[in-house]
Amino acid sequence: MSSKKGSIVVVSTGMTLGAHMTPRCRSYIEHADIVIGSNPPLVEQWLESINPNYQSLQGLYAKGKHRADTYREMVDTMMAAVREGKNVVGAFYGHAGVFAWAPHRVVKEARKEGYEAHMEAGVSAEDCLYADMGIDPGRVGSQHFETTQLMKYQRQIDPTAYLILWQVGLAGDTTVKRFSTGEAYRQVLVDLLSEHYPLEHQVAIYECPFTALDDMRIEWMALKNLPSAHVSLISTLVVPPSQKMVKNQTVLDKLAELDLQQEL
Amino acid sequence: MSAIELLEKLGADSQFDKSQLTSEQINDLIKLSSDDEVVPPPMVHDTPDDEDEQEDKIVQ
Repeated sequence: MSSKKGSIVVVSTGMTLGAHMTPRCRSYIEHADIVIGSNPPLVEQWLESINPNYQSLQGLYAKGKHRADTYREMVDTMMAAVREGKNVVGAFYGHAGVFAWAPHRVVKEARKEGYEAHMEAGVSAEDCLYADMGIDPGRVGSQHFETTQLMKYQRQIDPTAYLILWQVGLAGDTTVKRFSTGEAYRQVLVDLLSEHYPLEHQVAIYECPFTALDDMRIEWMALKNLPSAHVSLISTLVVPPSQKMVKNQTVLDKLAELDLQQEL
Repeated sequence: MSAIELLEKLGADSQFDKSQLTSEQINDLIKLSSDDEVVPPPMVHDTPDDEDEQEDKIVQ
């Protein structure tokens, strides 16, 4: 255990306010010297009601500013408080370690400097998606990609599994400075996906509710209609499998041979 | 109970009866919700940096 004063615990506040935060995460927030986070405004109000010493990182975002700079500043802000000897809690919505660079990086840097640091798990949008849409990712498998990354790099799409694309509202944003792209960018995504799926293939836009007053959104449409669909920063694209799994007879034969040997 | 505490209770308590809300509380909640806005998650989707690639044990 480190004897250095100052520490950081990165906690996950979950997706739906009040419903998803674990008792352990709440306890860390209650007892922190300072809570620093990036969350929707309502969640920030809620966190402030739990610990009045809450500092929002939302002001670090700006249109036209490279988001990598924003995330670096988030880490620097949290580390500055740790170096002051404070017991810091970093609070991030959803699961703090899912699709989030800054929370992982601050834990890494704090440990490197000899401070106690760890992350607490939470409920992510992915968890909510499985429950709300009735999808078991173990049934035929599930591939997850950040949408722009899928578009920029040569990835292997498996149309026999679910394909889940995150941040579809930012599809094709190579500048990393915008908060939305548009129809023309989503058309490029559709062109890419149409190499693996029929244009009539049914896909869904999913959005998880942030409060118990909000409704979840599950909107089905043909793949070809995705460009004109309403999408936002919280939209996720769900592409069900379009093909059946094909047995790997070579491996099955090897396994059958092993089974025979073990019976002897 | 403040509006934000009420919102927390609505999220946490599966047995909470929404019909018990007063019109004043409903108005407070509607105002709170309308003030909310979506924030981008703190992630980078571009090329992973060198340090990340080292940890991923990527062989060039």
